[in-house]
Amino acid sequence: MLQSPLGWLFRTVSAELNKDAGCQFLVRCAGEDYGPNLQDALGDEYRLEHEAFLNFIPHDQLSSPKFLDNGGNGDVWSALWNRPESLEWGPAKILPVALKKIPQGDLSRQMALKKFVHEVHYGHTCLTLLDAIGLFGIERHP
Amino acid sequence: MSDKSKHEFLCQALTFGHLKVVSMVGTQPLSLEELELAVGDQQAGRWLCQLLRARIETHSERLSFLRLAGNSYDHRLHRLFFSEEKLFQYYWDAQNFPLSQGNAARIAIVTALPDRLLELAEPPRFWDKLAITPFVEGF
Repeated sequence: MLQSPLGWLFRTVSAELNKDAGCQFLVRCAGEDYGPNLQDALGDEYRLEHEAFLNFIPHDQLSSPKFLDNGGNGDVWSALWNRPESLEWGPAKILPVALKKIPQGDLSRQMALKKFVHEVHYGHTCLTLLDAIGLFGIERHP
Repeated sequence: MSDKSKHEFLCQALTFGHLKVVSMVGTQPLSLEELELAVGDQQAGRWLCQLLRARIETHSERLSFLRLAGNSYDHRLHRLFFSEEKLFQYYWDAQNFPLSQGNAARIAIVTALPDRLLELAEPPRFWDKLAITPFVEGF
């Protein structure tokens, strides 16, 4: 059977993750490529499949940070996300968001990242929609 | 949308799907390295190459690659695309068709037929549509 590269890619991603991930990834292929940024932020925990469900938000799109709380689940700030127009999100919009620093606790940075990625990956594959937990994406503080 | 732009859009978008090659004249086998050069290193290209390498290294799927003859809109190719309607709209809005420009548009991945042909899951009703879609000159 002859398949076009994108057809094969769509079906393979859909089979390995799920159909939502296949669609989501192909939508992102038409937008800005933040793959290298995501790779840089996640370090050794980066896997290609994370690009299907973990959005990278450049630091300069976030403004007006205000510290809110330091709880058991880590430090939390409020901020504004100057979300640019994109295929994925629609028209440009300024959104109030919460920023949560990945809690490290007694863990090494790498273990904390591993735990975070596992939770997000598990949430994606089990709940299928990260909207259910309201995660827009990750950023890396410079 | 004019007929001309509809035609151009469909020509590009339809390269995403399965290919029904009427003639194999002029096709050339490609190595994985040559395919990687053709698809580039943007998101879709990176994913494609990594997944292909994983499949080949684990021998989980027999794959080979072809460069098709002529240009991507060659009349000898009957292109079929039965994917997500939403993606059509996204690609149309962006006028951006990953992996369908230049050299990449002429590449085909040769895969084994699925064990259970009539139960091929993606795209839905592929075999029904393949059977009922007439050959159209120019596509």
